[in-house]
Amino acid sequence: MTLTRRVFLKWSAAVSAWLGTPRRSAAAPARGAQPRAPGLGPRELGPLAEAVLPAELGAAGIERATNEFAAWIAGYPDHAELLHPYGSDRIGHTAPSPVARWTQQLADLDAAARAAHGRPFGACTISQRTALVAAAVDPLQRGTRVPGVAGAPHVALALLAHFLDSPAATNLAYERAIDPRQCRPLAASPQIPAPIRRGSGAGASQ
Amino acid sequence: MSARRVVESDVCIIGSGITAAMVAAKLAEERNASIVVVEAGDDQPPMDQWAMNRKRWMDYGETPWPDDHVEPYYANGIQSRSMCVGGLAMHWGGVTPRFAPEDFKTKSLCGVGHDWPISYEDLDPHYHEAEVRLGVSGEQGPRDVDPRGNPFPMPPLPLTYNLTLLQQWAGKAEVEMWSQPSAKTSVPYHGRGACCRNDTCFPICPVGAKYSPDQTWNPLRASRRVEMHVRTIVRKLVVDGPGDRIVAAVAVQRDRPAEVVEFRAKTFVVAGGYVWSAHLLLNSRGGRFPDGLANRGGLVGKYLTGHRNVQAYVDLPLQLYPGINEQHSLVTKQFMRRPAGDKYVRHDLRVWESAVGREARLRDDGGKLLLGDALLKDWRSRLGRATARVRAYYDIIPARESELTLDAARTSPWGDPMPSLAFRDDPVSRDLRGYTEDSIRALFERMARAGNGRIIRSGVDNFQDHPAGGCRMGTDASTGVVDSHGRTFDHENLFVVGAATAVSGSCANATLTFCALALRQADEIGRAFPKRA
Repeated sequence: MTLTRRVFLKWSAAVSAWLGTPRRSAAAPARGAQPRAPGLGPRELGPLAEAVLPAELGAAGIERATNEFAAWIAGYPDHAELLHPYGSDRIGHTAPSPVARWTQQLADLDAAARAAHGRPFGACTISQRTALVAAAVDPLQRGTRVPGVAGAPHVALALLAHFLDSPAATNLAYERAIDPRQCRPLAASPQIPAPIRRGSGAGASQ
Repeated sequence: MSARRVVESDVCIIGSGITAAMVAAKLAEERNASIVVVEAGDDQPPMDQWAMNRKRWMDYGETPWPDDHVEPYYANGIQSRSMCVGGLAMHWGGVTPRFAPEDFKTKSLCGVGHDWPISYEDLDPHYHEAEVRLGVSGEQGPRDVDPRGNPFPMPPLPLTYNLTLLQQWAGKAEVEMWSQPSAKTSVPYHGRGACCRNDTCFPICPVGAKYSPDQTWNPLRASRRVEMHVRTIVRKLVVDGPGDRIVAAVAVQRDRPAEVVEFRAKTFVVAGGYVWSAHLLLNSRGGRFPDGLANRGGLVGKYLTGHRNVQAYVDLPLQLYPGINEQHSLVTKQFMRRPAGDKYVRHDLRVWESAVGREARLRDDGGKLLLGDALLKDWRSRLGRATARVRAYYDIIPARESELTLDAARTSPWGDPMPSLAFRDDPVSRDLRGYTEDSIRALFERMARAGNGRIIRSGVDNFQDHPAGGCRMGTDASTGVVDSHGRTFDHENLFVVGAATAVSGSCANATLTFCALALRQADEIGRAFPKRA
């Protein structure tokens, strides 16, 4: 992804508004920070995650899901070649990065929070944040199907979709340590997956 | 004047897919022969990168096999663009049933199609050899429909908790199912660790528990038993002298396009699958062979074959846990035997666990948006029932005009026409298509009823899967391009191996059969060379 100065400044402004904090120097990222999309790291996404992810995940589970989504954003490849499908001669590529659009949506949520509650989005209660997200997302979400992460029409849905595609989400829903697509002993496959304790952060085996 | 480089060997294998790997390994082990392999595509990433590539595929859909295709080498409707070291089997699903005995004699038994020039019994030892080389885990099915001379080299992949319940469900409909044979390790095997259910066999197994041809090529290349030339496109074969022998394969190395590379060998083996084998023979036209090589009977490119499928999702009153091992399935071969007197309908049947219909959703039945705990509550409310995925491949008799032709409108940078594909059913299969698909849907409905379930949805994939043919075996040049050992009728030192030589496509995954054919063909190829001590 090409990061132009104009885009970067737009992100920077949005982040500052989101956090309600003084703007940091664009040229001085925190020491030791992982490469990431400015404005869409765990710190900025955390308040949104609390609003859209199940509370039953617990703080640790929400933090983990948030970190994984931030890592997904940071690693997003523009125009990377997709796996070519069977029965087709088509070669596809990933779509342009949604980061700029999502960053703007965070800023829009913040503006809505200030208008409705007189404070930044991150300072609102979780139920206030959930209502703000629902109001923003409702007109954009068509039908019942969870969208693909990159194609999600709103960053809140992208975050939710990313979580729902994870082993932790499956485990949480079934309340069993199924751990899809994780390396697991073959010999255990005839057994019913072990129960996980409700409220244990989904018991998400990683 | 272009530069010319000559590479000499005893055996020149064109293509490096799974059947080429079988031939090369067998010759290297059993014969004193120098072996050169020519591959148009690139090497693929080594296994230490597969876990990372798998993650990027899961995260972004990014291909785990970068640069595994070559422009403009494709055809309309081609099954896969793969053109690389290892070929399509670098990302196959690793499913390895055998064909049924009936597949080899449909004309004799049922009056349709064409008998193969070999029987199931002829191929049985080579099936076993293929199972050993690929490392197949399997369960013996009922011997009357699943005969075999030797046991599987590994015990079956265990039935998951989900598949055990689904097996019981199928039994209620009098369908006997068992663990699908797969080229995946149920126990450590020849340096490969046991499968640990990463469950992304297609498109990539991150631990090498699934067989892929690099497992054969890497040691052969490291020990210099095989010399492989990658990024090198064979454009045509050259005939000269008595016996219409092939004297050279003329190629271009993609990094040095001005240089002609001439591969000279005693024996040439074309292992380009159902597209590129016939394509090379047709493109080698000229002089006394205006219609291409090995084409005296006009059959090169003809009788492309495969099978379509009917599939459905069945809602059942069971508690399953999708994700235990989704790519593993149950299988039965009981419908691959046509009941006496019935119409010619033959199909396999497989059953998988599925999460279809059990996914989280963003709106409830009233259209209300769901987030957070509300979403989770709604999701859990729909997990008390289960979904089974069922699919049947059905046999199609190919028409002669089911064919690959050269498309002069689309050419390579060197002016060679690219292939065009047109699959066509024989009139017998064309006329039976509706009846066949209705029969399979009726079976699905019977199974659903037996489990107090219902069909959620069903459909037909319109393309022909596991394609093969184009250089089929026959008894002479009027019925085939090659004999039962893969030797072309027209050129004594030219062989075609694997998928291209299949007479029909059966109604089951075909890769194991292609490998067994290639190993049988390798026996004959090897006879021209002394045995290794």
